[in-house]
Amino acid sequence: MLRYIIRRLLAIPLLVFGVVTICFFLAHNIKGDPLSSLLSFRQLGNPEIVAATKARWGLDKSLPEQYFIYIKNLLAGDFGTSFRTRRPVLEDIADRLPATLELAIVSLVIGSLAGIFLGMLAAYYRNQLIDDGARLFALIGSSMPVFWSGLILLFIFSVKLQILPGPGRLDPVTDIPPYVTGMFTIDSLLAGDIDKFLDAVRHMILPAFVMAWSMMGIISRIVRASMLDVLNQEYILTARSKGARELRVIMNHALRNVMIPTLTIIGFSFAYLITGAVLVETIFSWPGVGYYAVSSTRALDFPAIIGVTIIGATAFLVTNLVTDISYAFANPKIRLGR
Amino acid sequence: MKSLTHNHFQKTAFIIVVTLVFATVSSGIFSRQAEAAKKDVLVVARAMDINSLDPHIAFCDTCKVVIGMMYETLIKLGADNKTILPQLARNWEVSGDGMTYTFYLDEYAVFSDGSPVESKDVKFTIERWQNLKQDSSMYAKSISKVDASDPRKVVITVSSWPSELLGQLAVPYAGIINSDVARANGAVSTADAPKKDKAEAWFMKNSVGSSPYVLESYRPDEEIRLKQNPKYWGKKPAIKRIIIKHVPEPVSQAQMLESGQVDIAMQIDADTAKTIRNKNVVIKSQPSYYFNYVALVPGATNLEVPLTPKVREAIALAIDHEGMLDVTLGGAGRVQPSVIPVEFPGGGGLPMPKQNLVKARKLLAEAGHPNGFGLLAVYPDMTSFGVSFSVVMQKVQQDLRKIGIKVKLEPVTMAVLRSRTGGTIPMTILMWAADYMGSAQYVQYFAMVPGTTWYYLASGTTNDMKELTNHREAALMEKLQKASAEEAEKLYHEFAKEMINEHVIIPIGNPNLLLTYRKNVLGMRYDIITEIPFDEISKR
Repeated sequence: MLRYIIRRLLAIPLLVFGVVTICFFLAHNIKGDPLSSLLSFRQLGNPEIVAATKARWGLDKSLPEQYFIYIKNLLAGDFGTSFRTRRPVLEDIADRLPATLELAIVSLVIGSLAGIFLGMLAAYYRNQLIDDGARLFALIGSSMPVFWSGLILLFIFSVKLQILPGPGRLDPVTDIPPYVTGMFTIDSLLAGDIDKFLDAVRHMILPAFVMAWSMMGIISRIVRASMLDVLNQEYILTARSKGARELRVIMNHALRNVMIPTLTIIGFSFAYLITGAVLVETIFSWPGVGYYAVSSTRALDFPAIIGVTIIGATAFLVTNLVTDISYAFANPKIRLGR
Repeated sequence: MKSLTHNHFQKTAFIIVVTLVFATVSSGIFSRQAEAAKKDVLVVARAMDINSLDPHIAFCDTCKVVIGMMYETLIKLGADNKTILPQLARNWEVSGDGMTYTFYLDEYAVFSDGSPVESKDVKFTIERWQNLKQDSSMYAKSISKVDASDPRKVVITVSSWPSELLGQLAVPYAGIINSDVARANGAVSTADAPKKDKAEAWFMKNSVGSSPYVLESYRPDEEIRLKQNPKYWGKKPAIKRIIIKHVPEPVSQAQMLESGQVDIAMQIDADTAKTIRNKNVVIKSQPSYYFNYVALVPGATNLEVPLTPKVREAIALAIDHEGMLDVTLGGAGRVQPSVIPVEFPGGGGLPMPKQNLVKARKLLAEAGHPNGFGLLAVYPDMTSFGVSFSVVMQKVQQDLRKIGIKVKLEPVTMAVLRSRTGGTIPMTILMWAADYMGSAQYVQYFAMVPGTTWYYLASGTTNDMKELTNHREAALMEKLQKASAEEAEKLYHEFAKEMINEHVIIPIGNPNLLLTYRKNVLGMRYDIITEIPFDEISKR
């Protein structure tokens, strides 16, 4: 198993390099003018200013030349400077990735636990009211556009009831905690600031719930379907016949076999959450990678686009690896690398 | 056995619900306590479009707001948005021929590090502003020489367009920077500044002005924080800290305003404003100087028929301007006859555009297209000043259909639009926000005279479409070179009439500005340059 993991880890950089190359050439061939981030519309008719800007940002060089300069800098850890934010792309991503990870992890935990619970509930009480209710709840979450559910929940809980805060990661007036991980919950705990920790948790409730709710549907459906199949197996009947408590039957015997397909979905969901949460990030003013990626794409901010692509590709590859490894733990019959 | 599991599920569900209720209720208590503690802090919601914090590179709507808070200019605009008032210069003189301006610096003015504001700083600022050749350098174009031999006096000589220098020097991009500190951090003011200047990265984290506020921190797509300058030489503002939060959606801005999370929301549109019911929120609607405009590109290469003067006039006459205001702004705006706003020099007393479908059809017939033709409209898919461009173009499409012109709509991103300005956009829609009180900016941008931006754009791939040249406008531009302020106003009025009759740039309405803020915020008003003068604001 160790050799398998090492082989997969070694392949990741090569795959990422391939993705970067494809992304670089694709981005530069999209119809659009990257100068739109660098100069206003008013200067389009000024060749002197256009030429000076292109020279300043290296856009006057040939594409292969730009590519080699980019790769050379990338190998030295320099992801370039964002056209849009005028800061190093790595710095931009370092600010945003923890925000996205923090939200994604919490959403994943809530969505996974709730999805598994609802799926188990629905399977156990199949064709009863609880089954219908659980499936309806999950289906609504998956079907509703997240920007709509986000705005509605903000309206209800933040504006009308005023029991939850509005958009943002912290109260607008609160200073951010000293940077350690970039995740405000962890950093505030490490700084011993409980008020700030609670503030960060409060601000995460709504966006995490919205994202988790959108995941619950598919997770609960997978769990329900798998559970229904597993509950009819003979070993379940055997366990019950031997006098095992029902809870033990469900948790120790049934759930473990249900987890394999569920883990696959959870793995993909996590990678998606990291790169695809742009709508939630926009509604909740959550400065994450998703919003950065879309803003950069619209502005043809090449350095930022490729920087985010590297992060996204790495996230998918690592998540796939972790998912594969967790199969082996969930089901000892699976031996990786053989 | 089944009953045990049943009870277990019930217990689990009960525990989860109780935990959630407790968490949300207890969190509500803490959030109210936080709000009460911010009397000297102002929180603003805005969709930030900051492209830089270097005052000589920045050029965006939010840039004007924040740069204006961090850097003071020699002169500033008064509350009437017209009168020029002293700021770093306590007084000034203009020579009889209007070519030499002498500014006397206030002896008490100091930068945020305590060092005095001197003429060398003004010289460095202006030269860097010119030589970096970035967007806003066009406002320093007329300056030919800056004399800083006397530390308390700056003598500026101009070579052209003399009558609007005072207005242009009030633009936030003309904010005076501490030359010693800027130089020490890579700023260069000489002709090789585009290659040698490396100060922008430093300006993204620091400010070196003399204004009441200094930059505390900036996190792109998140927030910018300004704190009071402890060494400010003038009257200290009541607000000690300003936090501008990036909130892209007007609906989210409105929600934050209603819940008290923010004190001011800067971009709530008319439709969203109607949904606000909170009695603690004030909504004031007033005329602005922004406008949106439809532009026709006679030089486009993909025209079904040439956009001759008669065809362009027919298109202009077919547009229902009053209906456009109703559809896009719910009536919260004004029809604007020309690109020069009504309150600007030369903008008043112009004929209002009126839809005239009969005349429009007649002109099309005279132009040889009695049955109309097809026309492609490529436009940025965005909302500007509360107006959705998609809605505007759909209305234009409906209006033009009445005279037989079938408009095909193609929304694109701004980056794509720019890449196609070389000649494949027959019609588009854009916006304009005034940078200062003065009409030269409109002439320099919109006049159909070689050298202006829209002459270049309207000419398509040729960039120089001779038949587009308006020789009368060219003659007016010559006269403006030596005109006094009063003469210039008349000349701008003539310009405005010419631009109306060209029918290349068709203003589509001037949206009202909505000032939306909490009731306890005092001193709110509209400033043409910085939108809201934050140093005048206080809270009850």
